[in-house]
Parts: sequence; C-alpha cells; structure tokens
Amino acid sequence: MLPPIKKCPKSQLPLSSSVIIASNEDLLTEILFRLPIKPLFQFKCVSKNWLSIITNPLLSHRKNINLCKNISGLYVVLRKMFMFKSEYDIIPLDKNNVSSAVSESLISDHSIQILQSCNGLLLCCSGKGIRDGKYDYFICNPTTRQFKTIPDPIYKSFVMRKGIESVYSVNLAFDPRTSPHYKVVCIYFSKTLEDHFDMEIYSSETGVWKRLGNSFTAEVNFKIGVYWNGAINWFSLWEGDGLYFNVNEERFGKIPMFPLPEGWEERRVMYFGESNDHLHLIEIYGPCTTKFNVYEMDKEYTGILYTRKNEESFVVLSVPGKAVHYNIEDETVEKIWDFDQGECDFECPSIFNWFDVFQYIESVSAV
Amino acid sequence: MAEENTITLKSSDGKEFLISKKAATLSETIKAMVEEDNSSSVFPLTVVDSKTLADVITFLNKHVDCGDDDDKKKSCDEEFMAGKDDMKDLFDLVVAANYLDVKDLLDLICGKIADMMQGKSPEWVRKTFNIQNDFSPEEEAKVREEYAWAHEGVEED
Repeated sequence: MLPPIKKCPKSQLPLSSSVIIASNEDLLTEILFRLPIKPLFQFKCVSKNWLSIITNPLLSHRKNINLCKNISGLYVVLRKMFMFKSEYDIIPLDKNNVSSAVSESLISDHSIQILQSCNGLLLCCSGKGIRDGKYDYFICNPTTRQFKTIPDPIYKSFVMRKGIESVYSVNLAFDPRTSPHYKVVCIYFSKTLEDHFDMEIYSSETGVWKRLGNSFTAEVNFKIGVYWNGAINWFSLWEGDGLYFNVNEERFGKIPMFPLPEGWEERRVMYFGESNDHLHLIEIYGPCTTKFNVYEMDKEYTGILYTRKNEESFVVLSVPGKAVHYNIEDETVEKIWDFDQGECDFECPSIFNWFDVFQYIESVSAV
Repeated sequence: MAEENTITLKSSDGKEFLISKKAATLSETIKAMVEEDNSSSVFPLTVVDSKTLADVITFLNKHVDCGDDDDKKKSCDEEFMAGKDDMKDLFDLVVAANYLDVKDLLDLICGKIADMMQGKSPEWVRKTFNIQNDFSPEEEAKVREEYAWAHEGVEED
C-alpha cells in the first residue's frame, strides 16, 4: 500500500527560489536592509544565519547612513520638574516612521535629561543618585533602547564649590557616515586659571578619557554644542567669534558671526543646530518675532553665512499649545502637533525653548 | 535590419521571447552575454522559467520606454507591481533579477518583499523562506529577550 500523499500547505513554496535566497547572503541582505528597524531586530531570532546577517557591521553601517538623512521626530521637553524629572513629548515629522514605543521608553524614565542629539544617538544626563553635585552621563540609542553610562572624566572628582560640579558642559560627536565610534567632549572649569576651561575627550573606541593640552577661554555658549563638519560648534554670546573644535584633528577654530544689530549687546539666538549636514543659525531681533532669516555656515568657515532652500526645506515653529510645520519654499503652514497640557508641578510652558528640542533620528548604532 | 536590434531569450522550460537588444541589455548579465557572443541571436536562460521571464521582459520594456525620467519610472513600477503579492512569484522574480543583474528590478522586488514581511511573526518568516530554526529554545528566548521591544505588538502564530 502506498503511503498517503502529504498535502502541501498553500504557503509552502517549492524549494527552488527560497533555497537560492536562503543560501545567498547578499540577496538576503538586500531584502533585510529594506526593513524598518523594528522588524529587522525582531527577525534576529529567525535563525543563526539571519542573526549573523542582521548584526553584520556592514549592514548596520549602510542602514545608519540611510537613516541619518531623515529626522523622524522631535523630542520636546514638555515640563521640567523637580531636578531631573523632565517629561518629553515627541512630535512626529515622518508620519510613517515614528515608533511610538520609542517615545514611551524615554518618556517613562523621567529622571533623565537629554543634553544633545547627534545622528541617532542621544547624550543624556541622569540625576539619579546625585552626590556632591555630580551627575552621570550616558549615551542612549532611543531606537534600540540601548543605554551606556560613560565612565567619569579624569577630573570630574574636582568640585568647584559645594553643589557645583567642575564639569561645565558635555558634548557628543558622532557621525556613522565616518565612524561607528563616538567621542564625548567634556569641558570643565580650570582649577587654576580664572575664566578658563580645560577639556577632556572620551572615545568609545578606546573606552578611556584623555586630557587635552592647555587651558583655553572663549565667550561662547559651551552648554549648546552642535556637532557638524567633524567639529563641535559653539555660537558666541556677544559681538565676538564663535568657536569650533575639530574632534579628530583636536584643533580649535573660529566661527565668524554676524555683527550685532545696532543697539543690541547680546545675541538673540533662536536656533542653532544641524540638519541634513548643514549648520543653521536663526537670530531674531526687534519686536516682530515672526520675521527672521535662516543662515547657513559653509564648511570652510569663511564667514559667508547665507540662506539656501529647496522644496523640502521647512521649519517647525512652536506657537502656544501647538507645533506647526512651515514650508519655506511654498510658504504653507500645517499644524502637526497639539501639546498635552496636562497638570504641571510648577513650570508649564505653552511655548518651548528652542534648546529644549532634540532631533529623533533612527539608528542601529551600538552605544 | 530589425533582426539585428532584437534577440531571443529562451526560458528554462523552453519558451522563446523576442525582445529588443536595448531592453534586454538593461540586464547586465544579458549585456555581457551579448557582448561575448555577437553572432548568436538566441540566448538560453537556464535558471529563469517562462512565467518569470515574461514578467522580467515586461519590466525591461517599460523601463526602456521611461528612459531617464524618474517620475515616469515610478509610475511604471507601481503599475508593474500592482497585484504582485504572491511570495512565491516575488521570490522567483527576485532570484531572476539577481541572476540577470537588473538593479532597478532587484530594488523594487526586495522592497516589496520587505514590505510584506512587516508585522509578520518570525515563525511566518521561517515558513515563507523555508528556514529551519537552528536556535535551541533557550538561545531563541535569549535573543528575543534582548530585543523584547522589537516583538511588542506583533502577533505570534
């Protein structure tokens, strides 16, 4: 008697094509590369071969380069509460692409503060267990929900006064297009020279901090550093030049700034940031706050600040309770977000500080 | 003179397809075959069946008509992909596009396959791609746990 014929389920494919695909890593990589991050990471458990293809650094590199071009959303500090208890909201910019889970993961941990967003990684500061005014700094990939605490800088233990840490500012330098590793630049008050600063650099490649040469001084806002053009860039607060520090060459340079308009002694910076490999600056003077220019720095820092726009150029503006998307080219305005007003402990702004907004860029970078 | 500008492609199951040289040589593989053997007019493609080859030829002809116009290509591609949601057909096409080295077609089909994988369970993927799960239950649990967030909201079957 013949054995009963096994019925082939409909989804069962004839071996030929699927076998060819399964044995062709390049072809499989081409398919997997096109998956969004969530299913890509989900399918790591399909088989050992798939795990190895998905974790291949070449695939990660290609994926990051692709993701880097796109800002999926903006983190906004919704309310600052006691110490580091900040609440974040996320404004989606790419409607198809914001994983709601990402915002939840960060928002649910209220004791962290985002200091800087840099090509997919966030530099954060935690107030948990503050002792003697010391904080923990860590790098977070909000997409893959990985966190890593950075070891303490060499001179971190030195405290200025009671409750005030010697660390003045911490900045992140990361560009997956040039390296899978990141660097952290820490600026702290000089122990010996008044109004001077010292610098230490941490490299994720070596895992150690190193002290940089001499003390320096500059009238710039070290608190808001923007990584662009291989350097951390700081704008000047007054009439003088801004400052940049090229992280790989370990070299300082000047950023020419516009002269202040007559009658003004202090810069009124309303935005200083990087977008799509361009460094932009917005200053607003005078009574009319809805009229402003967007300036752009050239890569040689020759001082030509100019505006350039294309059909995709837009700015996100905060108006009480809302965020609006303003297309510079065709001058259209669209409301993209209503902020949850909720209950506030004490400070509850309806308009947000420009420096309390951080780009959310998807990334598969390891921290 | 018309013959000089056309060639015949023969599928694995022996069917012959007439196609312009211009369209056929969008495939790097066919281009190399034609350059190597200028005297032949029939080229056997032993790994592509007639159903798949007919699809590939439709794609090549559409793309030759589009030229360098990216907008035109996009709408052509949408038209070409309409109704193509059978994984077996897509697998056949992707293997053919890879073998024939037609980058635009490869991009298009890989993208479609990736789209269709979204929201599916790892078990669905194994079944569809004919993959043996070689993780031990403990190993699989470990990988799943490490990326637990990636499994949220996905139905297992």
